[in-house]
Order: sequence, then structure tokens, then C-alpha cells
Amino acid sequence: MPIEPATPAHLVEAMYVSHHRWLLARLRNKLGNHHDAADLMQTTFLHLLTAPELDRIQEPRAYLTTVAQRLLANHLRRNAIERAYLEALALVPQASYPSAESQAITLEALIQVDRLLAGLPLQAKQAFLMAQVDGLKHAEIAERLSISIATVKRRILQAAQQCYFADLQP
Amino acid sequence: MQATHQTAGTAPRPRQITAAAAQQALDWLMAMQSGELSRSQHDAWQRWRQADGANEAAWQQIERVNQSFGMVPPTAVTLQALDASAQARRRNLKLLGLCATGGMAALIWQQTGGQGGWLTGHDYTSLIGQVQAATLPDGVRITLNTDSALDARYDARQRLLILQRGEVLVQAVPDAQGRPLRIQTAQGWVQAQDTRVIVRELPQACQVSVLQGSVVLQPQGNPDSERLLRAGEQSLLFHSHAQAPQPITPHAGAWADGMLVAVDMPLADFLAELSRYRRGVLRCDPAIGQWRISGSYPLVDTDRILAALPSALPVQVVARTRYWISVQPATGEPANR
Repeated sequence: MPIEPATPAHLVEAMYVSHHRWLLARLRNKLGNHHDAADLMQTTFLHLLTAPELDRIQEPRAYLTTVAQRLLANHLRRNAIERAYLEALALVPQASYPSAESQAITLEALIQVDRLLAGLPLQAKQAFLMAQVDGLKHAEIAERLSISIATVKRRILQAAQQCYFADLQP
Repeated sequence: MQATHQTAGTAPRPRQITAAAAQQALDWLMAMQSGELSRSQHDAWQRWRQADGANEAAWQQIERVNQSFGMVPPTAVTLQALDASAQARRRNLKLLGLCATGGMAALIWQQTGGQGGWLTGHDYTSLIGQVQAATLPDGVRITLNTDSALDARYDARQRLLILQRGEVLVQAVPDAQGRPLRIQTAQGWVQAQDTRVIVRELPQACQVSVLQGSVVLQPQGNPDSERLLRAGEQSLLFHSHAQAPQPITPHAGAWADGMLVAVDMPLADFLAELSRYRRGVLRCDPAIGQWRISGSYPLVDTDRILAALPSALPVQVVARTRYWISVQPATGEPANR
């Protein structure tokens, strides 16, 4: 009998058979309800289909937990951003209210920007956004944030390094 | 798969971005953010891009990432959205003693300290139903009422606050350099010294109410005809002149504390005031416009104020749509349809 190559689908299926009940119970514990737990469990295994080096995983349960936690964190973060954005929109004058499509585009951009800026100190985020989004000059940013122009440049550089060239950072 | 020939304009295969190219690309970005590039700087930038494939790759990386930044709201709103964790928001709202429920015209307090305005490009703005407080770098404190906008223009000569729209409460402080503080409106200027004053733009005039200290009114059409206004007085400033002082409306600044206070106020005026804090139309039946209403109403929930009206007066509040509300005399009998 020829040995079948271990495709990602096969590997994930093997993991599913061995561990999905365990993962479901663990997630149900963490999330407090069956529906969300089942949802997250399915998403986790789906995610695995595109994960690299599935055959090298030593500790499948630890790996599954890590992936599930990361997906959950992203999901909660996305919800929080969407909620905040919609609340801000609720007060916008009717004439300026963006279309559903426009909202969707803005929301995706916000989530992307959130990822790019994650972990930076507030002042770095502020200075960078004021320069890049609002188009303010460094001198104007310095005045509004009550810091020196040199500090503005330092903060912007710090954010820019991470946003544009994160993989080149030491 | 290889092309057998290259057509003009084909992009070169992307090169690896080197650390040096990335650093130079960032230097160019910073130079552009400081101000417009001169002609020669612009040419130098173009030459830099063409000098090395790594340079071009680095610049294209910047442009690719910038697409996301091109699609987010102004900084103030973006930061608010990104800093939103449900926990933090609930904690803040509890501290403020407010409960913001979605779907209602919420009166939201925000301490901003100089963030840009939503959609309008002004230095300070408030949305409909929002009261926005900020402290300027020199210690002057402004509180914007609903749907207002203000720009701050300080220079060597004066400290100028331009009221572009709406209503502002200004707590003036003296300036270390002795510059006068002036609030500019479409009709002229209000010069304030150690004062607490409210300036409100109306269609043809602006209303100035002095809570503390005194101000000098200067009509734009007639700058020499100044008028002094003292604490407890209010006046209408027109383009050509300032009206003689009247006693200040009681509780003129209550909105800054989140309250609408009515003392024997005609219902039509009351509803006109209330509608400033809401989206949509709030109509008052002319037949009952002169009925009087009194009381202190928390602006945090204007829906609740409307819901409570029938217990204060024989009226009914008819909501044809969410944004078209009409206050009418209550019908005595149940309708027979």
C-alpha cells in the first residue's frame, strides 16, 4: 500500500479527531457558552489548514490553545473597535453619515491600523497619526502635544519604523 | 514563467529592502512631513528612488502601508476607536456618572486638550448632543456646546479664539506675555480678561453673556464703538453695533453642567433649545407654543425629557419617524378610528 503524503488537510483532520472534543470543553470553560466555544473551535481548525509546518508540531494541545487564544483576542479587539467606531458615528450629523460600504472600508482600515500601531506608546501613535492622517506639520504637532519638534520626530520615527519596516527591526 | 520580451513600463522585480534603504526612505518621509519639498529636494528624492532597487522597494512599501492610513477617520476619532476596550469605557462612564446607551442622543463629556475636529478640520469641535471641554496651552478653558466649532489662533499680538459655529463658554486667564484674549465671531470681537463668558452664534447676531468679570464688545462694522459688558449682563452683538445690556438669562451656563434649565419658559423656546441636542426635527404645535414650562432637565437623555413632557403639560409627543417628532395638544378622548 503506497504511503499517502501528509497533506495539510490530512494533518488537520488527524488533529481534529484526536483533540477537538478536548478543545471544545476547554473553550466552553473559558467562554462560558457552547455556541461561542463551537464557533471558535471550528475557526481554530480552519486556521490550521494554512499554518506552516503542521507536521513539526510537538505539543498539539498547547499549539491549539495558543492559536485559539490569538484568534479570540483578535475577534474581541475587532468587536471593540467596531463598537467604538459605531458609537462615534452615532453622533455624526445626518448629512455627513457615511454609507454602509464606506463604513465597512473604514472599519477594515481601522483594524489594520490597530495592528500596525499595536504596542507603541500613546504619544508615538498620536504624533504619527497627526502627521500621516491629519497632515499636520511637525511644528504644529509639537504645539498641540506640548513637546519639542525633536521629540515629535523621534516619536514619529519610532512609529514609522514599526509600521513600515517591522521585519527589519533589530 | 518568463516573459519573452519586456514591454515598456513593466515594473522591475521587487528587490529586497535593505536596512539602509529603509532608513533613507524614512528620512525622506520625515522631510516631506516637515513641509513641502523644494524643487531640488524633489528631484533628489526621485534620483534616490531610481538609484537602487532597494530604495524603490522601500518607498513602495511605505506607499502600500499608507493606503490604510488614508482610509481612517481623523486622529481624534481613530485613537478613540483604537483605545476602546469595553472595560476602559465602562470605567470612564461610571466615573462620570453617566450611562451612555446606544441609539439615544447622549450627552458625552470629553476632556480632549486640543484634538482636531471630526469632519470639519477645526481645532475644536463638538458633535450634535455633545459637550466638549478642553484646556488650551495657556490655561484658558473652553467648553463647546452641542454642534459647535472653534479655532485657536495665537500669535505675538493676541490670543484669538474664532467661534466658527455654535456656542462656547470661555474661562479666560491672563497671559504671561500680556496678550489680550479675544473671541471672534461673524459680528465682531469679544475681548475678555479674567472672565467667564458665554458666546453663542445666532443667525444675525451673537449673544454674549458674562458670568464673571467683564468683557468689551467690538462690532466689526464699527470697531470704535465698544461696549463694556459686566457680570450678570448679556447683550446681542450685531455687525454694526452692540445692544444695550440686559439682565442675563438665569442659568445661562447650565448646559455646561449637562442641564437645560427652564424658568417659566415658553414651550416653543424650550423645544427649540432641546432640538439643538438632537438630530432631526422637533416641532412644536403653534397652538401651544406659548404654554409655560419650568424645571431642570438633564441633557444626557433628551428622549426621556420628551417622554416626561405629558406629565408636566397636557401634550402628546408624536414620533412620525425617529427623526420627525411633533409635540401637540393631548387629545382628551381616545381616538376613534
